[in-house]
Order: sequence, then structure tokens, then C-alpha cells
Amino acid sequence: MRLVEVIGCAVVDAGGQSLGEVHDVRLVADGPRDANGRSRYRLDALVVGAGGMAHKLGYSHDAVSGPWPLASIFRRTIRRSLVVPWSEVEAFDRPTIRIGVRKADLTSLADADDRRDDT
Amino acid sequence: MTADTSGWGIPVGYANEFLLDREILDKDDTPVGKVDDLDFEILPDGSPVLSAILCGPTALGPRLGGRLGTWWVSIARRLRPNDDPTPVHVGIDDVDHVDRETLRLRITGSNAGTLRLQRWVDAKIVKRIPGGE
Repeated sequence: MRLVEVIGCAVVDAGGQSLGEVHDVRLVADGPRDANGRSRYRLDALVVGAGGMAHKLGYSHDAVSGPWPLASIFRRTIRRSLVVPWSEVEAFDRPTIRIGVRKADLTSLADADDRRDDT
Repeated sequence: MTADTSGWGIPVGYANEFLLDREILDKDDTPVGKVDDLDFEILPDGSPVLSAILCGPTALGPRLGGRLGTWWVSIARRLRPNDDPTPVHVGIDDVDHVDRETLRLRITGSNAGTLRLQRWVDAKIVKRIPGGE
């Protein structure tokens, strides 16, 4: 499966509500070991919803920091994106991904990153 | 923080943040392309695991999307030095490490196959121009 097959898919929650498109994926190094003894990256979650243009322009990471007004606005928008665990994906039939939880049960990217920093 | 067993110092990260569009350097520090897409292997339990990085115009085109992406892939396929329609595929075992700006390979660019278009252009176009030798 290529990443490009996932990016841009529309995500629909358990109640049939559209959550927007997939803009990014979260990778966690806890997969099987590779030939060099390193843990391979597992696709852990999809980043969905708000901030499509901001993600494309690279404001989802620290490397892009300006110009000030745009960076501030785009960063705030990106933090409202939702994080959908891959384990909740019930059906992947490009261009639609159906998940087994409702929007209200998902965390925002801001909350997910805060929890990551705390662990 | 989560314990790092990735060997790259990045236990948890986002594809846009630390992989996509990174410049690829081979083991001799020669730039050989950029990370244009990622390939995942699906494990028996359904988990996708990163298996390779993809690069080259046929990997980038679908990311661009729309007519531009279709046009990009079409042109790239016509310029390909062989009939293989798949993008250049570098196994994750051949990646040494990734940092803020670059992704470094354990192998040379010629072994990775990332220089095949450049070589084809050199041989078929540049060398036929007077003074291009």
C-alpha cells in the first residue's frame, strides 16, 4: 500500500458523518525489526480534517515558521485536525475510509501531541 | 518520551514532518533525489508497516493530484529508461538515518536505482549535443 493511496481519502465516522480528508499519517517505531535490528515504523493513525492547505504547505512541522501571521493561523488550524487510530479503520475502499468510532470519540491533533509529550 | 527503537531518534513522528520531501543522500553524500512517497507492507494482523521509500517523478505525480499529477506521471513514463512502470523503490533496510533535512542511505545511488533517469538523459540527450561529452 502506498501512502498516496491513503492521503486525500475521505473519512466517514460510525454515524455516517464526513470528517474530511486524510492529510498526514502518524508513524510509531514499534513494528517488527528490520535487517539492522531497528524497529520498523507502523502506520499508527491518520490525521484527518481541518488544515488541508496548511498541511500541504508544511506548517504541520517546525521547519516552516513564517511568515508570522500565516504560520500562526495555519498552526492553529492544523491543531484542530483529528487523529484516527488505524485500528479503528473498518473499511478502506479508496477514496473512502470508514471508521468504527464517532467524531466525538476522537482526539484532536493538539491533544494527541500533548499526550505524546507527556509519555 | 516513548523509548526510541527506530535507530533514527524518532520514536513517533508524522510522515510530512520527518520523511516526505527529505533530500536523499547516498553513502558517498551524493544527492540522489527526494522522498516522494512511502510504501507499506500489510502485516497479517492488518497493520501497515513502512517497507520502502519511493522517489522519482512517477512517485511524485500521484501526490500532486488532478490534471497536473496525471500529466506529470505521463511525461515521466515516456522518459523512463525501461518499461518498469513502478517508481524507484529503496528498501527501508538500506536507509541509514534521517535528520531534519536529509535521509541518508547505506548504499550508493546507482545501487538504489535513483540515478537511472539522469543516466538515460545523459546518454540519450546531453551527450548528443555538441560539447556535451
